[in-house]
Amino acid sequence: MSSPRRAIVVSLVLMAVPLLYAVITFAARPAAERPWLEPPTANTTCVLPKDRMRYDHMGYLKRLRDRVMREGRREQVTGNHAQGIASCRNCHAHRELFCDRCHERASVRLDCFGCHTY
Amino acid sequence: MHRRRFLKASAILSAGAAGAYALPLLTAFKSSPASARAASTKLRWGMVIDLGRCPANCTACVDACKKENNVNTSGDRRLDIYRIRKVTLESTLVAAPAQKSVPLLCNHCDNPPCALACPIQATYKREDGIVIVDPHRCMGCRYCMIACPYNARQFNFRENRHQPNPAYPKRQHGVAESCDLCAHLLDQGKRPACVEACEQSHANALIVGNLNDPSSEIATLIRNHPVRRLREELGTEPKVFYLGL
Repeated sequence: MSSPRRAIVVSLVLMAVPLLYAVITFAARPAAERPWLEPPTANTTCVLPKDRMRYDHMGYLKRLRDRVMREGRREQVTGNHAQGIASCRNCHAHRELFCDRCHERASVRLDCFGCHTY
Repeated sequence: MHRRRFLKASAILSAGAAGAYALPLLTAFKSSPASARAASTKLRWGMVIDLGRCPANCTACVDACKKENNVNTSGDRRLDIYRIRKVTLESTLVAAPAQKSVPLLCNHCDNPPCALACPIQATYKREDGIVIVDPHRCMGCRYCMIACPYNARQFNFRENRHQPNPAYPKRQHGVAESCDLCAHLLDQGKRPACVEACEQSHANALIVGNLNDPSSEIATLIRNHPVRRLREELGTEPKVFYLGL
């Protein structure tokens, strides 16, 4: 190998060392524990199964919002089995012990409750 | 030969991908309202205001609207929102001086300039004719306020401190607001707050109904009486008709 080519290869390998160190130590960290959330008070089932709700509650709320506001279909937010954002509190009574726990850990700002009472 | 085969394969693949993307688009245009009161083109909400029955000192509609919709009211006229407001019109004819007290609200135009002006379609005309602001999407640019020829839209410079109606959300700072004919009540089969209050104060000056239904009270009123709309020459096609303007 010629001298310049060897120098380039050696410098690339040396640059990769700290990068690999960072990647390997990051991957070796233990997974973050989920914060304790207040358990629901009622025995009824939620809108979606727990794992789907955890993943998709924002998507569900956005679709519900468009259905209510743009199409005027309010059957999901009125009546006894209301499933809107203001009716989550029927089972999850305190937002500081439920919503805020994960949202503060993940640093995702909650905008909803400036307008919707919880 | 290899190039031709490659081109054929890529053409078929891209056509397949385009078809896969187009399928959700096709199904999105099919609308199926689940309830009869949902926004459908069969309904076309309008309002008739009978100025002969509207007393000059009465503000029942204004107060009811403020309570029902958690409207920002603090007493400071620069910050307050008026979804419906009463204005005194004076006739300038020397021979026939007159003063009328006129309720003004969003006219829910069929050709709404605010919906045209909104850059993100946060304000739009629903299929049933109600012009409504989606406060989730509104970014507070206030183009709609500039566009409205009736000054019917206001801006929330401040979050509302009180919430007289806990069943309805309030608005945060930074959102434009206007009358939505109490769409949350209309969708459930009830009447707007102003109409209810006007009836309870025995004035019966506000009537809301379906313009597409020729047998509704509002359609018969419009057919049989001389009604006028505000600033008809602008071509906005407002749907609030005034009797005796």
